[in-house]
Amino acid sequence: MTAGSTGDLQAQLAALVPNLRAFARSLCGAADQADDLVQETLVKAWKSRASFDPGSNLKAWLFTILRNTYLSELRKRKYEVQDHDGELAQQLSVKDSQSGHMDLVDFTKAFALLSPEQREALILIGAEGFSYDEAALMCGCAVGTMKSRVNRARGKLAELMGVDGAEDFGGEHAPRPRGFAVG
Amino acid sequence: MADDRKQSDKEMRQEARIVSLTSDDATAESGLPSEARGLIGHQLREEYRRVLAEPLPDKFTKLLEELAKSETQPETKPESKE
Repeated sequence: MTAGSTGDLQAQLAALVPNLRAFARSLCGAADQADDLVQETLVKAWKSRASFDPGSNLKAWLFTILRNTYLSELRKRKYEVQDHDGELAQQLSVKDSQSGHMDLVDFTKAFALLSPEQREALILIGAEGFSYDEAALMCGCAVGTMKSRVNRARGKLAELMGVDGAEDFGGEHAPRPRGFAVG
Repeated sequence: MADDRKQSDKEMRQEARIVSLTSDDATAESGLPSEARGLIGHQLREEYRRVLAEPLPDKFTKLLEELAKSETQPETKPESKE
């Protein structure tokens, strides 16, 4: 980045803020925390803009900064889990002893129950459309690890939402996740 | 409906902070019915697009303007990897 392209970079960063916000929200949940994370990312990106290769993918570079920032925060603070969340977690993780089935949840709730790595993998691959190679590079893991995270994430979502068996799709029992508008 | 969703989304966002319940759980395989994969993919993109489409708070534009004005020399130390 040369000094002359300052305006360009500013515009390019601005154009990617919605993506950064959506990615941050997927990672850390709360909207205000996500926005803080995006602001921190923008500051870091600006300060280290000399290290960005203009020929490479700006979005991937920004997403990498964001997820690294998030994960190091996570390590530092360990994001205290509130009691209320803990209770919910327990409810969801324990299969109902009567029926042997878990209470089914909608997509949003199920997604929130994935690990940060799984959420990240699903978003990068499934929502942003990065390739497995790109996503693995961004997350500093092997391509196979990325694939396995995506598979596990999908499987876990399907399990939580109750759509993990072929029989779930028979006729009138076709899945209608609660509280989530499809269409 | 939209309000319900907003409210429940807010709660869900909070719950996203839960550290994984399932990271060691190997229930997941790629042996999902294609309908399930389709449904999950659809809802994932739908939800992501919903956040993408949210109006952008001014603070981001302001921050970028401030950064551009500050005219500080970029640091040479790469920060993309921590």
